Amino acid sequence: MPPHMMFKQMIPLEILATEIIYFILVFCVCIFIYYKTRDAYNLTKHQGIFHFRNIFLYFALAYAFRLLHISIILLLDPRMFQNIRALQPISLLLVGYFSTMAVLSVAMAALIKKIKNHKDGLHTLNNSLHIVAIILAVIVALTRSHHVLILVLSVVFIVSIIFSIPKKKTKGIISQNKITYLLLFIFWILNILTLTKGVIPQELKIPLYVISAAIFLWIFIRVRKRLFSNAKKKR
Amino acid sequence: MPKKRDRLEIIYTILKIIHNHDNSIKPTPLLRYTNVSSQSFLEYYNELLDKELIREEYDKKKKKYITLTDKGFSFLEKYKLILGFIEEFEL
Repeated sequence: MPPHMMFKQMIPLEILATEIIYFILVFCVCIFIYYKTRDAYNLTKHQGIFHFRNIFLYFALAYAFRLLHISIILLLDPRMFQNIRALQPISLLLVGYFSTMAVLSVAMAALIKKIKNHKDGLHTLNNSLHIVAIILAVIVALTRSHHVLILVLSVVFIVSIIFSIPKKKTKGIISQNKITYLLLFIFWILNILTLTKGVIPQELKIPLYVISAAIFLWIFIRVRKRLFSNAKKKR
Repeated sequence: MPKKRDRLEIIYTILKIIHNHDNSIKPTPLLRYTNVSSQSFLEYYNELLDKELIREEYDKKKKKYITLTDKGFSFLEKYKLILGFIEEFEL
């Protein structure tokens, strides 16, 4: 059988093209944020900046493996490629691991002010994040379910929200920054939902991707404005 | 009551003092000008050495001086921007 026949008869090229454009946009913005904050971290070794950068590094990788996962679902016919079924849990494992790490980094960036005094424990804590992410990703891969991944991420996120609520009542409990983190989380969950057929209608996917990419772009603009625009003015 | 200085601010103060003394100062006056306890100072001092923001130099009489590294100068330049970034993202 010629190779082109191995693909499904109806190759959803438009869907894949949309996914690739969306991935390139988000991936580039995430890597830009990671790169632009490099100096700030190298100079200070500030734990908050460390976790903030990790959010975007792990999201970039999560989006990369999400694209791989989608490509496997869309392009390769499991009837022709028996081994492809074995690849799906692997791509889901990687999506699960990196997205859990991204959400844990969001939680750490939001909570770091409360725990940064315990300097000795930080290294252990950072390592334990990887262990937690690996365990949760393995559970997700074994169940082969996107819904389990959503459940896992939601539990992680809700726990971090509970811990981040200030004990004393303050004016700005819901700051612009916490809204940003919340939006990042919600849109990642919606991104996972798009992996399950029929949950999100096709016509809603593009607006969803546009808003999702806009959130990353908005963060990038804020980072750039803070770290670079003043420096240019000085010159 | 005056606000307690945070970690980054103390690091900035130490580096600024070194810078203001023609990039060469002995450890004892640096401790005095920094206005923190000697135990805290030692922690910050070791941290700055680890991060390669400062370095120790010795003169002909084997007296120790502290100077800024290139990274230390860069920190002084970018301190306010980094501070603004940390505040913006509540880190």
